[in-house]
Amino acid sequence: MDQSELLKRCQNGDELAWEVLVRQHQGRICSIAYGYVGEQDEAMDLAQDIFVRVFKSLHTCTDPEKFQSWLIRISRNACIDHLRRRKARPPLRDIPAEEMVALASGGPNPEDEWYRSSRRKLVHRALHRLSEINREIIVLKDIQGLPLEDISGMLDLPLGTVKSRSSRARIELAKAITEMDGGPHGGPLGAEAV
Amino acid sequence: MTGQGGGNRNDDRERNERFVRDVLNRTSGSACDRACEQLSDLMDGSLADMDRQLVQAHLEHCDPCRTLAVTLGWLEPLLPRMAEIDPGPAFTARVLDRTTRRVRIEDPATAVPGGAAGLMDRVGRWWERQILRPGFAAQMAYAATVILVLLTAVPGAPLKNAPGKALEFVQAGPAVPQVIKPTMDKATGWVGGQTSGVVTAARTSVNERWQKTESSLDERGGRTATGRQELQTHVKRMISQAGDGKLGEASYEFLAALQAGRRIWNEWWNDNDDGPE
Repeated sequence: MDQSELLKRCQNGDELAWEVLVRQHQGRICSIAYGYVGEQDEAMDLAQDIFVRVFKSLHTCTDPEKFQSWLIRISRNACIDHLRRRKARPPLRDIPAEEMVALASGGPNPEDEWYRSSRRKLVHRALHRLSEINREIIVLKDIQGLPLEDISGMLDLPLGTVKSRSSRARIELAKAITEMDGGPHGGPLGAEAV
Repeated sequence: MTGQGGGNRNDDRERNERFVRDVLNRTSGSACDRACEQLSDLMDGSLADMDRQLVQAHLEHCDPCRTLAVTLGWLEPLLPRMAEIDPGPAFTARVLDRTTRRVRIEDPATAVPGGAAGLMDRVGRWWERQILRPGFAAQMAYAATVILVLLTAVPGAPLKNAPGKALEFVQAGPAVPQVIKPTMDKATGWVGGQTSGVVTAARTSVNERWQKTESSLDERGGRTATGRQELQTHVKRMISQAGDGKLGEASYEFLAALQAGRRIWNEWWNDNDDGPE
């Protein structure tokens, strides 16, 4: 399907085109929201808000070639706004230590039917042990595959800094996973990999 | 014998490892940090040959770094696969509900009827799509400004005098007495005198003006009743004929409706010099 035509139709209020666009990008938007907030229900609500924001801003996307980058930028801004608002209000509850243990051991969790892979859940949990900037770099570069130049523009950091931080962020993530997965000798997920 | 030999080899290896660690601790320090720095490049395959061999040699003897390398090894292909997650079919429906209001399932109950009702339905849907369109509010505000300017500000505009008259009306205000002499009731300390007279005068003035406006509206409503009925009839016929596909008749009714509208306009402003012309 011609993405340029699809975008144009969406901008002209064609609901069928908008539906197709939502279906095409919902997986990506949900993944970005989940990467930033780390809570399933919260991420789904946030992903809806992102689509509403995208819908209202469609007319500002003038270059269809850069739609993907534009979409991720809007998503990122919405996630940052959401996290700022979340910081301003007290947390509803602390994450109990048992939950971490259950997660690392890959124990069953009926609420997570849609997200079956234990290893993916572990990565998401580990992501939230990283600093904000490292988490963003992992989400944007390693998960979403954005070019370093785009990330550099979004984060307002020099290209070299993004490059070096990217390597460090991956190592930090691996360290966090190793710690959560039972230390240097590896838990069930690490053992599975070996 | 073999077991004992294996045990001896393990002991030797542990002894050697301990020795190397001790030497490093007393000289350069642990090499793990340096190895960690290069692990990412090792995974990317962007490490120079010599550096690769050095890191690999370190990994052979360092359990924590090897575990880290294994984790990086499975992270590498996993992360791009996490770019999308399936939020389920209900998600799409919720997003569409929040962004559009179109009926997506066309069943007999929701199908568009034919004739005048169908036309009205289509017009209604078209209008609904327009108001949900991004940028609609800004375009409407722009259009309203242009219309307002055309009606009031350009030479020969039909409502050219309206803003001036409205301003005069507001500036005239209630008929307030010019001099107010407040007096004080010594017993209570309240300020009295003509202040109550001001309120009464203002109220009387506003009431008089309102009654005048109301009677004027009634009179104009009576004058234009016939014209309005005609207009209604022509519009109804126009919609009905357009719905039946009789565009010629519909356009005739449209012209008749325009004439009726013009007549109403003239009758409305016929009483004094407040008119648009």
